[in-house]
Formats: sequence, structure tokens, C-alpha cells
Amino acid sequence: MTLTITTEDRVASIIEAVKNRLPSDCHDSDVMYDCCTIIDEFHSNMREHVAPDKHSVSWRLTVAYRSGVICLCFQYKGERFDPTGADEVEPLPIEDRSIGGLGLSLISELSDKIDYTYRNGMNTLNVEVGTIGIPKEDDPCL
Amino acid sequence: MSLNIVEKINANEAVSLALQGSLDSDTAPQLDERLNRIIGPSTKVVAFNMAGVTFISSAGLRVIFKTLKLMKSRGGQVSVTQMSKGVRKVFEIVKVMPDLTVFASQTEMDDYLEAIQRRAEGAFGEGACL
Repeated sequence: MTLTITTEDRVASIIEAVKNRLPSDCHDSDVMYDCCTIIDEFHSNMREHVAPDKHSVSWRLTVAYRSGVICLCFQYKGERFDPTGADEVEPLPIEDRSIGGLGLSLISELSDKIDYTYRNGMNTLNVEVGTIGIPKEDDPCL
Repeated sequence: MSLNIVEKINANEAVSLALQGSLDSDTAPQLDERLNRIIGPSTKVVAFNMAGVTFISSAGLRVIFKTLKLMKSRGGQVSVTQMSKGVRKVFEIVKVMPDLTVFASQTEMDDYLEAIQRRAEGAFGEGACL
């Protein structure tokens, strides 16, 4: 099920639409709230970097639920931008830190599986967040 | 989901807020605006009860970080209590936990804030006698 979203849409309305496409037992789960953070980070990124001049830009979000895993597919046409290369946040004291630049790290860290592709001008970010604690791809036990 | 901000204490040195809803890119400016209004020149502690916060994103973190930087620059602190598992996870990812004063319960945080307030009032009283 695919939603067409514009950068003018409010986060709450996007979250509501996503919840309506998921089983009700997911709605107030920790995994759902991880997804909410990821969705807000992507949406903010679209607003700040793809539509910075305030023109409305559309993007698509496909939501699926498979075997206890919430799958989110974010897509938009535009310049290539790979959000998966964010560095881990450095443990600096607050006095020495910038207050921004945390969004991409949150997307990567909250996702159990993340994959980016760019084809024919289309950015596609696939994210999976497991409701049954699927191991991280970089888990040394794998 | 919107953000509901309830002022629990707004005293000389301590400000305490209970947050309910999501702290996202649409609602974070609302918290920022409220904090700008209630943090005074002598505020040294800002306390948040996060029990009602469903999720937080980097926009919400920016407001917390900004407040934390301001309080630290005054020798003060930001306190939090009753974080959900998800909110705590986000704080841990951005490695801000060592900079926060975390209380196990609202009661524990209230006792601490009252002690600060009593100390501030005591200091004011002593000064007034001089």
C-alpha cells in the first residue's frame, strides 16, 4: 500500500495513515514508535534538503507488514542522496557538540535492515524494523 | 499526534514540564517556544517528565540539546524521568545520557526540585537579611 506524501503534510497525518495500513497490535508498539522516528527523519530531510525553497515536493511511502516486520519503502525523484552512510554519533560532552545532524544516524540505528538504491533518477530507501527482534545485519553472531 | 505541554513547576531556579504526545519536527518548535518563554535568567534546572512521549526525533532532540547546553553553561542541568523504552533508545543512540540527570520516578524528581527551590529561597532569605 503506497501513500503519496507532500512536504507540506504534517507528521501526525502521515503517522496516522501508516498506522491505518498496519495491524492494530502494532499501533502502540516500540517498533511502531521507532518507525515514527524514521518517518519523521525522512520527512524532515525532504523538507530541509529536497524542498528547501518551500515548494511542495511529493514523495512516496510504501508500507508493508511481513512476518512480524514493518517494511517501509521511501521513494522520491531527485538528485542522488544516500542517507545510509551516516557515521555513528561520537560520545562528546554536550558543550562540544553540534545540536544538529542526528537524523541520518537515527534512521540507520533504528533500522534492523536498510538498503538504498538510485535508478533512473529515483531515490529508493528500504527500511525494515522487526517486531520480533530480528538481529542486526552487522551482528557479530551472524 | 500533537504535543501537550503541562507546566508542573515554574519557580525561580527550576522549571518542570510534563510532555504528552510526539516530539517531532512539527511539534518541537512548540516546546522550544514554551521553553524560551519560561526559562528565566536564574533558571538552572529544567526537568522533563517524558511518560507521555510516544516518540522523539532529531527535531525534538535539538530542543533538548539546546536547553542542555544553556543549563550547562550556567552550571545547571536537565533532568528527565519516566522515559519509554523507545525514547531512551533514541537518547542512547545520540549518546546524550551521560549529560542528563535521570530520575527513576516523578516523586524522586519532585523531591530534588523542591530541595533546589528551598535552597534558592534560603539563599535569597539570607541575602535579604544582609
